[in-house]
Amino acid sequence: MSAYNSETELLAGLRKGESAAFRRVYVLHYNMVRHLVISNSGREEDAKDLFQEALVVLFGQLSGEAFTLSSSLKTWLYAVCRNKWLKQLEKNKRNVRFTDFEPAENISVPAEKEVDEHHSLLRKSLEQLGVQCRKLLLLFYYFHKSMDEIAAELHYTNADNAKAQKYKCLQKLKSIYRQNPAADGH
Amino acid sequence: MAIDENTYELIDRYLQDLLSAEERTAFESRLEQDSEFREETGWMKKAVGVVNDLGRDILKKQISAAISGVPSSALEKYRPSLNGKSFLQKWWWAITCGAVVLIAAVLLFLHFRHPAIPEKQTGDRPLKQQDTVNVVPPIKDSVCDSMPERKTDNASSGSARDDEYEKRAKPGNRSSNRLRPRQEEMK
Repeated sequence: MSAYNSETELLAGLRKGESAAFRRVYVLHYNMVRHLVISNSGREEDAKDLFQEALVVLFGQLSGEAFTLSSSLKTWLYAVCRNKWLKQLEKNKRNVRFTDFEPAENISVPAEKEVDEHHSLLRKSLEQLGVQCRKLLLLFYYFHKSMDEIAAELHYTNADNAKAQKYKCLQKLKSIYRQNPAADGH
Repeated sequence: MAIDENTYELIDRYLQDLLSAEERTAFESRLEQDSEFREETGWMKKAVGVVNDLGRDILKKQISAAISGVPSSALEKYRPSLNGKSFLQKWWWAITCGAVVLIAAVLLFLHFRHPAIPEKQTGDRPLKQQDTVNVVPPIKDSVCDSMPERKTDNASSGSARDDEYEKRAKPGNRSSNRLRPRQEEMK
């Protein structure tokens, strides 16, 4: 039996990034996304990739303070996957007659940012940072964990200590980044 | 000037949209005036963007690992809310077959409606239209003549009726057949 008895519980699990919550959404709604993609010139791998991307977008949205689902999770997932798949088909310049299987709601998906040279350089710098520092920054900025939670997870003595470590990690990241001549002026 | 820990925290709160209206105004005013602060905020924005990018990649891998062990038999069956295909898309083959059968039927009907039957030979010469056998004997000879003539002031109405009888009794006139049973009855 599932640990998530309602959609609210499921969304709370997703917000925390619980694997069981992602698995539950997969069981409930993957076949819908698969049907959409395969019926519109896609393959099984495309469907899986698209579904995972949609869950990543959902996690990003749920992390936002003000975000609430205006429709059911199923409707939201369908609309996001539909938009993303349409963009993919457009990108591949494939003119196909698109078939819908659910009423398509107009849900805006955050646009993917263009990656420039400095972005790639900063990404390399982040990868050069120590594992602990990287984890700390990820937990704080992406997974929106509190300093108390971070302290507990990364075994710091307390939240203040974790906060001080975060400051040091950012300074270190900047230092690695600025060592590269291409990073001048940024 | 080195950016201290508190300033980083302020920038963090600005980037996460957690500042109050007053704090935001003060922050934006400082951005305009302080170039180092502006540069630091720009750098932090990029750094947070890159951390989030890495986070997305990591989360995607986590999701992939979480769902990889789920057997396809465990997935809930999907029933589309919409039919998906339009009526024409769904039944194009049936419509096409129906149209072909209909066209064939029309063509066959047109072909057999006026069959090219070879002219029937009767004796030495071909049967002509004026040779049509008069199956109904003229009404005048059989029935109407034996009836006492009705005297009427309006002579024209009587003759008109006679004309109509004659007209009905003409060979080839289908309505004449309708008179036949009555004529036989009267006989």
